[in-house]
Amino acid sequence: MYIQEANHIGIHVPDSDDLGNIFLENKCFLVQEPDYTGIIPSNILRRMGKAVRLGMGVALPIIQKYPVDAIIMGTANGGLEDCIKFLNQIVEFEEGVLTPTNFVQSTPNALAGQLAILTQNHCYNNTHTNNALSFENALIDLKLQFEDHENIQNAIVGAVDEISTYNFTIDCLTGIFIKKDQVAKNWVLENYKGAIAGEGATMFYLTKHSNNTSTIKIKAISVGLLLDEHEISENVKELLLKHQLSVNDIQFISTGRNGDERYQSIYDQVEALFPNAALNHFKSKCAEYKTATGFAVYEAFQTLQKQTKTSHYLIFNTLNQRQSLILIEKESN
Amino acid sequence: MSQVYVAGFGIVSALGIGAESNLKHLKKGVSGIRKPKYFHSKYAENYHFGEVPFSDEDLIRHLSFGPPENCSRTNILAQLAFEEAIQSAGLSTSELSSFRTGIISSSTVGGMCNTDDLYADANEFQDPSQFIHTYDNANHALELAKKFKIKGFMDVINTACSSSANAIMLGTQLLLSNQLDCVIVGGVDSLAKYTVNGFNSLRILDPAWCKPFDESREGLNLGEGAGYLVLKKSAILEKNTLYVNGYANQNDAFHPSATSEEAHGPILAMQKALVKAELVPNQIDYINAHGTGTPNNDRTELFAFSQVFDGIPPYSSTKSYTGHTLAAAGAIEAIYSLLALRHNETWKALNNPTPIEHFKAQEKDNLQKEIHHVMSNSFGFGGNCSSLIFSKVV
Repeated sequence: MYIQEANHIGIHVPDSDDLGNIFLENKCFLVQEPDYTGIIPSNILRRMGKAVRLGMGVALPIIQKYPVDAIIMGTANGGLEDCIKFLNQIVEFEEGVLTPTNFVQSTPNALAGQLAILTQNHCYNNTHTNNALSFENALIDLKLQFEDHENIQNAIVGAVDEISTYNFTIDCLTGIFIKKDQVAKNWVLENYKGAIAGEGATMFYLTKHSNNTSTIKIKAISVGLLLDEHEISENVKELLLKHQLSVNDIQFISTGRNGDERYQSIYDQVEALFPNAALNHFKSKCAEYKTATGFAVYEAFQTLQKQTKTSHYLIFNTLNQRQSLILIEKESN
Repeated sequence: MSQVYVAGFGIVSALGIGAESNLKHLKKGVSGIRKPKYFHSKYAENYHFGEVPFSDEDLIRHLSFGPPENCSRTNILAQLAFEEAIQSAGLSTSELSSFRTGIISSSTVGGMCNTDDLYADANEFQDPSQFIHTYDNANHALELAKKFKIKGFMDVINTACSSSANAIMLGTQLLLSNQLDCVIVGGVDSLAKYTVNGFNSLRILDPAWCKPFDESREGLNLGEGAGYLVLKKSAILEKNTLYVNGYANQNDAFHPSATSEEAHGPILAMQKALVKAELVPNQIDYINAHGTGTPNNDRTELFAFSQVFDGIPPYSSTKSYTGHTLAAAGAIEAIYSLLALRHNETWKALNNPTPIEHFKAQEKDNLQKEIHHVMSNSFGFGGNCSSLIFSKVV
């Protein structure tokens, strides 16, 4: 499948050596939301939680421009801010009379559903909520729909997760994230006891076949579960073998280093397989969230657009006992 | 051409643990909906629920492989149904841990069934509770993958009330595309203050027994449970083998929490599932309807039947037995559809003294004839509408 267009709303990383000021207040990286005027109708914007708003912000400019035969989202948490707001009301008002807005907005499929409503789109519509593989599963889903349904020729696929006070708190308690007062500029290489949290929304317009506008192709998506370090390296080699590529055919390697000491040796190992590839640490620009590989593919798309020769871009990520590889190919012009 | 067949299944619902217990109650026409014993909520006093009639401790005693590491009710229910599914399919441990075996599960509430603990944890009012790892929507599936060493593939879907129908569809497609040899698909949800208050705020709960497809229906009863199917693929299927024959996922594109009067989504889902199965509408012997018992759903679904079928086939909603089990409903009702096929019977529609009159069709009780093709509908918030067709090899 081919990437035709990509949109991203992400965190703001200031161009200075000291990121201290941002951290003192939030202890994580927050998105810089755009002005949605002209993108999202104001009457529905008011009711939207952050995750739905971000998703809409990246999806609507695409979905209004092209035919869409499938809407598939990956989100680990959906609208968690709304979810806990509703939860707080349940407990604090002792299960009294509540308004349903937060409840309806909190369901993870609210974004895919809203997109269908706003564009009157009756097509295939799915939402994956498999933690750090949510976005990868959305891509695999689309691949299956392309294979199985002749009439599905294109789709919008998204990766959206917000950071709310509540999921930040819970994910700090479970050890996924860490609260730091300040971080160094190259924090992804640090040995913290957790990752630095971020959030973001990325949306892709994908087509089954190539056309004149794009020759950038998602060639393979490989997901792993509960693998040990040895099996992970083997998986990388297997993926290359399957596609008749050698390590030297990979011009770009982008890995999900996130500052968490527990993952450093896995990333060391995978990166060491590609000594000649240009190395990128995508989370230094989007920080950690469970659908961050959406941003990694967005970056790959930007990078590969500038290439004129056949090039391969490999993304490797691991988090929460899950691993993924996404191989993207630019066919020569 | 290869077909995806059902090698086994497991179920836990208000009708009990296991397919046998569920079938027994269906045959007797006894609903599992009552005032709850174990679920704590303000609404537990006066409202009716499809509660699984066991405490967490008793449920754990029914497990063959020991309790899940993170022991929420959702995770226990999931493991119970999962164990029965793999045992009835006779899956060996090596088959389970093959890289060609996967799991696709689904849940809407996940670990949020412990609503009060989540409240305290999220607001840091206490030291982390024992449920801290369970709040993630995918935790129940990760627990299953860890316990049964499933390494081939894992996915979790959340399309609200159609979630596990979509898990069944996606699993079927993975097999047909030859990515896997075996996939365990389904879903789980347990009763939670979260969903009870959510549905109550939408004013679609009937405090008394729900009355699907009845003129006087007022709303749904929430239920809990889990259902898993073991799917495999084969070119040659023996007589009486049950298989996934058709499926479709479409969107109603009307309202976040209601279906359209024109029933765009339900009509499209049923029509496309029929096309996929290469069946004409009158070949469907029975429809296990979504039939929640809300004024909106049942009217829409009946209208959709009238548009898809020349003469509406016998249909009923088994939610009058189990309540609405949300993400688990698609899988639980798929299993009831499979039981209908296997035993050539359907069961009495409960609480249905005055069927909706506007349409000519009537619910037909206790259908007893050779059943070849069953349709199972699941419609959810976000306009998500899915329709599945199960068939039996003749």
